[in-house]
Amino acid sequence: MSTVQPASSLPVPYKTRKQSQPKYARPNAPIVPPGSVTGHSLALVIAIMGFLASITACGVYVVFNAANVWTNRISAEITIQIQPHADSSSDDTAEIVQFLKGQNGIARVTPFSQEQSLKLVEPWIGRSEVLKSFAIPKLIAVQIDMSSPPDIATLKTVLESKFPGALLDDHGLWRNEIRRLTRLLEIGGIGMLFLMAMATAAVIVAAATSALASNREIVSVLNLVGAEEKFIARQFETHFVKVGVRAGIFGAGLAGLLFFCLPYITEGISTSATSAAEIRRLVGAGTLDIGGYAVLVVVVVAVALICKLTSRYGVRRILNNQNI
Amino acid sequence: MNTGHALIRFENVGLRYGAGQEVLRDVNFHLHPGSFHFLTGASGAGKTTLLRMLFMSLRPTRGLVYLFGRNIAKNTTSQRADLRRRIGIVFQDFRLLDHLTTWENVALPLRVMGRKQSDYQDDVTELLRWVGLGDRMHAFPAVLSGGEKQRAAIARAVIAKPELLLADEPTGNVDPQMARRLLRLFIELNRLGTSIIIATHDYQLMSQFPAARMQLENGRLEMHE
Repeated sequence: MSTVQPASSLPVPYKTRKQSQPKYARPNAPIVPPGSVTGHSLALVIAIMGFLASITACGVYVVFNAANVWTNRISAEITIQIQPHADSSSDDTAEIVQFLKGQNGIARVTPFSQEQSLKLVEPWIGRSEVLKSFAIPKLIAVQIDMSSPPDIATLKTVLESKFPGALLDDHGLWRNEIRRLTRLLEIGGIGMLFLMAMATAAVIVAAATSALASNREIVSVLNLVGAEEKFIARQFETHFVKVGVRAGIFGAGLAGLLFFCLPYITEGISTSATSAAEIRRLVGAGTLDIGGYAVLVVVVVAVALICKLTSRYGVRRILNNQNI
Repeated sequence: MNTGHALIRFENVGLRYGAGQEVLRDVNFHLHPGSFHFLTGASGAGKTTLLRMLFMSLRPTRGLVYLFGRNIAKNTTSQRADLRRRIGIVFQDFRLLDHLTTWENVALPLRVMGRKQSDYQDDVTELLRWVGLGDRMHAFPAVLSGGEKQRAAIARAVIAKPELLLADEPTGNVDPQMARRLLRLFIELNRLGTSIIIATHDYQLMSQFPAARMQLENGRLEMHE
């Protein structure tokens, strides 16, 4: 029997000899091949979700900003209505104007003529000479000095007791309505974003399950060499994050482009120059300011985070269930 | 029988697949650190099954298995991974990753441990030269012969200097000269403290080194020290 003796000197890994970087050792060679984890269809779905999420988030942002502008404008002005006296032809307008000008925190007082008042109601009841004979309340627009506003409640009490028939409207009803509407839009937007996030997460979990199934052999070998679940999950997570970032940037970029072109689109689809101008007056130009572009960046980060966390959770849950 | 410092301890272990007969029955043994054993038996005797139990990829249907003093039934997944990093295993079917080069396959256990490539690249290159794959380091497994794959699988199993090496027919696809060379590698690893279990029915290989034998027959294990 020829007995094998231990080697007198073994090269590995107990002696070292410095060598240059070998070409066959690619640094960070992917343990899981990228093509086997994510496909074009997943990237497309995430890009679409990113686009929809960007549209929703920026839409809410634009409306929220427009609502703030509206409420600020409304808050900066109060209106005095002077009911016509049934038994008298006396007119308190001049006295009321004087009274208001004497109050602190009032920037400007503008009484409306009958023609101006009629013009205000013109869009609803049209133009007619007959209207001039109607007892239409006189209006005084009062601009508030927002740097030192008056106590509106006290002003209302004093004014209405001093001048019976005068009514102070601080537009609180409108402000509350606008706030309620924007709150509803916000909640609706957040709900839609939540649903999109859920849908994206579900798609990624399904893709992770499929990726694990098609890479079963790799996962098995990684288990064999003692890789922990988090190491294995990281190999998949990296691919999903890359897809998430690329698709998120694509979707958000497309949404950004859409908002950039919105004024031209509005112009193009409006039936008249007036309606385009009305839309602009209502929600502004629709273009995004720096905050709006920041919202797009947040959407991209959120999409990448959803991809990262969902794939990590999905892969680790599957590995745990497999218990290989 | 003193089993206090046993590296591996099996107590009344049995294993069956599904509702079939027990493949392994009442297996009792313990191995000390630094031991060298050949695991023999006819084809289908349960050698691979026993190795898979030692590697924790199969759970016994009864009995207790202790590895490195730990009851493997109570291991968490993290603890199991931790134990596996202390074990090197060579499967009959090699289990190399087709999209990685031979070099990258061999380096995989070190990469999984989180070590830097610059720290281990010389070791991997040197080991591949030792097993005769110096000119095949850049090749992908698909173009390697059976013997080359086997040597790459062995290199991957020993690269991290495991405390326990399990090898399933490690010389089945190599010529006698390479088989002797690989056996020398196992012997040297054993000399440096690694416990070795080689499942084989290659009597010529066993005759080249006087190691203890574990004989599997009809699902039962006999130890021949």
